[in-house]
Amino acid sequence: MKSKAKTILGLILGVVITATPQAFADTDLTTELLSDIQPSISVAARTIKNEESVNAASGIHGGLIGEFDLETNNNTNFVMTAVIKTQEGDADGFANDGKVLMFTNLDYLPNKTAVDNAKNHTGLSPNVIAYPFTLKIDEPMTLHWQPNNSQNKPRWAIYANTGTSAKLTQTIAGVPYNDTYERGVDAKGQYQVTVYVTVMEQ
Amino acid sequence: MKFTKFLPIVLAFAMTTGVASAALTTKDKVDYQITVPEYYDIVATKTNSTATASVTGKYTGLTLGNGLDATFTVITNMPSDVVYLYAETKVGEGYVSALYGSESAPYIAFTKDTSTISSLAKATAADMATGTATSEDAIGFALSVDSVTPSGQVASATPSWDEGTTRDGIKYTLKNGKYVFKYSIATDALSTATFDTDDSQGTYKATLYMQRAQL
Repeated sequence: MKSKAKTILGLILGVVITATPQAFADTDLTTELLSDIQPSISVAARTIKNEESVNAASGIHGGLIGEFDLETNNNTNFVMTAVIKTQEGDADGFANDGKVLMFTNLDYLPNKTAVDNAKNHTGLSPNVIAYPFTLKIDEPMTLHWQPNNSQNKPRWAIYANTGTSAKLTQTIAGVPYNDTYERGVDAKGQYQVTVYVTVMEQ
Repeated sequence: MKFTKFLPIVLAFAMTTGVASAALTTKDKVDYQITVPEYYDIVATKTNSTATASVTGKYTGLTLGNGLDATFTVITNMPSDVVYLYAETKVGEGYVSALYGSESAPYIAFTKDTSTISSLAKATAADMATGTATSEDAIGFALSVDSVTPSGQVASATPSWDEGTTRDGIKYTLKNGKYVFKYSIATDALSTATFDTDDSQGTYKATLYMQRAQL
């Protein structure tokens, strides 16, 4: 009986081993592993300091900092957009060719005119406050301002340039840009801008 | 030897499926937020706060040598706010309410601080307005609301007469913005009913002020 069982087991193993294709020699196996690596893309926000209280007499705050960790193994490019809320809905939060970020009052939403005034320095901008915005990214990735693009939304393009990982650092200065803060005109409350980093559309 | 060939095949399959399912995070965001706290500021300025008065007629009239004025600049960032214009003047027993009339035609009472008129806070102005009480050493003048100038896209000021617990005055309901309130007393602003020989020679004084708290 034991002998019969050994014979059956021996047959099964024999089939398995025999069925292994000759192509799985060591060199061929290495080639197959490389060809199976899938695109790996990662965008991860790391908040360093994203909330501040403003001196209501001056509009000055202590500065804000945020970071994004970008990774790609297939030379994927990224884009960065800024979104603010207005009475007419979401709007672009950049000004001055992407070097300024606008914040809008969530409790008392501004209208489009106020946002345009802040952006163009053309008049009162109640409930919109803008601050200088600077960016830094690790090489070889690079940043390019794109006011006009296929998405019809001003944005920063982030080109990988064959780089595989980079840290994108965003700094928002604490002194209001172009007198966009005015005591009394800008109501108390919480002001916000949301910055997104996404994979660039193909 | 044969089993060591089989094992890498299994591992290769596991690695391939693992990479494909875990490494695509294509979007993230940061919400940047700043908080603007409540803010208000009230600053009073004046050009002329004193005047020498001349009696006219048979002690029936009083003309000021120059007009008096006061300006209050108010800044508030509160979308719903109020400020009160009050006046007070001193009598023998302390300070009393000195503004009377209405938000469109207010009067202000000046007294010598030894005045014997009623020390009841609100009775002073009321008595002077109706002329029902003798008002020794108390004289009333019309207070002109020259202008209330709001600036800001939503700024507006709505006046109403306010009777507080200890003071009467003009209440302004404001939206956030900047405001300049200008008041004056003209040289001929005497309320003649409040002036007679009961008002003795001397210095008369009243204080006009603006604040956010009701009194």
